[in-house]
Amino acid sequence: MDEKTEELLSLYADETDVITACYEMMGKLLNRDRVTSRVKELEIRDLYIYGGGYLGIQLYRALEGQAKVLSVVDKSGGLILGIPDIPVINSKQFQAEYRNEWVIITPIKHYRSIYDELIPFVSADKILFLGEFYGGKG
Amino acid sequence: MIFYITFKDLYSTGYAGIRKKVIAQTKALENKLGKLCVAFWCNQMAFLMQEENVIEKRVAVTRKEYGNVLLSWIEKYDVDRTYVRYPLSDKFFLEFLNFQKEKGIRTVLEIPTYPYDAELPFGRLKGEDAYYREMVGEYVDVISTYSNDSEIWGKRCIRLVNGVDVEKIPFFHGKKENNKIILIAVGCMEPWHGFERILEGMGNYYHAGGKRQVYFRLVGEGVELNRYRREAERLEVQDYVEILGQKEGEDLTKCFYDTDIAIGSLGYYKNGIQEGSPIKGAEYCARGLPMVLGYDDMRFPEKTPFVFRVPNDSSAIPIDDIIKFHDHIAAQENYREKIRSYAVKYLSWDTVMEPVAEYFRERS
Repeated sequence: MDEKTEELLSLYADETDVITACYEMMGKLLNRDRVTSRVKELEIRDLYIYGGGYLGIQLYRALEGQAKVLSVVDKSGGLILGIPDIPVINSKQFQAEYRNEWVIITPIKHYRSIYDELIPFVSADKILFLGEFYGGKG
Repeated sequence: MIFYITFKDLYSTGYAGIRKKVIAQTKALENKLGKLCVAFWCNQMAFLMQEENVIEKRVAVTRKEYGNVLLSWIEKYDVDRTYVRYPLSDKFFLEFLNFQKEKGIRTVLEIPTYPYDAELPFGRLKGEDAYYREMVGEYVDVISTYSNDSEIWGKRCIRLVNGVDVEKIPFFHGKKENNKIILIAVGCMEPWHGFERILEGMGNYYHAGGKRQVYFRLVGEGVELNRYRREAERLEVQDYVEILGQKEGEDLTKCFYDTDIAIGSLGYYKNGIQEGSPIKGAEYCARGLPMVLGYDDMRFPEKTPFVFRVPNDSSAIPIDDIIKFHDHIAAQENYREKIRSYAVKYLSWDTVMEPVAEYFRERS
């Protein structure tokens, strides 16, 4: 296989991994018992969900009745789907109102850049990647 | 420092047996070589553990990212030897192996099942693996295998068998009715388990007027479970079949309390495999259970008295033969204790992993 073809295939492989990860997490968030136990374990009461995409919306619905989602945060200030009952704010509004609550980052591909954006005003121990929230060991 | 590296989510459903095995293998290697760390990948997070405590964690969404995290930890912890559980080959895995080779890190690659092609569903992962695995031999020093192969991909093999952490397997059995024989099968209900052969055998047995009460207890979940349920109904033996679902810990132990015979894999022929040493065989042995096997198990030579071998094909298992086997072995004094002693002597992970430890000692 020539170098260019291999590079292209690697890109496809990497993108496929991201899509697979998103699909799996969408499914895992349907496990209400798991979500409930993680909320209890982490003692989450109030939180923000970063990312107004499908995963952010799925997480919002998964957390209904479990914890208080103060808002979904998205750079665009909106959700990928028009869902009126889900509150959503943009990054500036979020920074203005943030008061040390949990933040769960849902965009799987852009975790690192979002983390870097948040860390100046959100404590590292209050930031959770979605996979980390769902649970690793145990 | 030694790392034990896996690319799987050890804590997901269906991996309980593999998780126990990894923990037992690392414990055995630690007993022989000193502290080591275990790396695994779970819910898009990379974890590094030592003595079952998480000492590092990092986001790793893709195979590429996980590989990069591993490489950073290998450098951070000055790793000089790795035991890697083979994940299937792809470009990222080869890059990881290449990095290790360039750093002079001695690598033992464990291939849990070989050959494994029949186990893979058709798709991109199978395609990637078929292309890249031809190159794996360039980057590892030795391969550990549970098959009889002395060489795989041009590399010499350390032959292993699946052992058991005997101390962690409770051993007791309860009183029960003499006329009842309870068979148990524990597993993730995959096609290669072939438990339909027992159901077929029970159908034949009861339709021929079999008098002894023979029950079949299925513990676990998987793709074949619904099929077994339908088969039991079709053969009209559903009253003699218990389907208990996934069990772990004490709940699993309770399933064994009144069982008589364990059923190992009966469907290896579907994958074109004749031999193996699946984890459950060692666990059954540690529980003191005689067993029925449909393949050649390297841990139990041909005349092992507590193993009843059946052909590796699709034929129904004759229940009369199982009853005879049971009655013969149950007539022996302390037969269950003797089976357990066999596990202690031959199947402990300390014994099984010694060739790997020896290899690492020679090259440290």
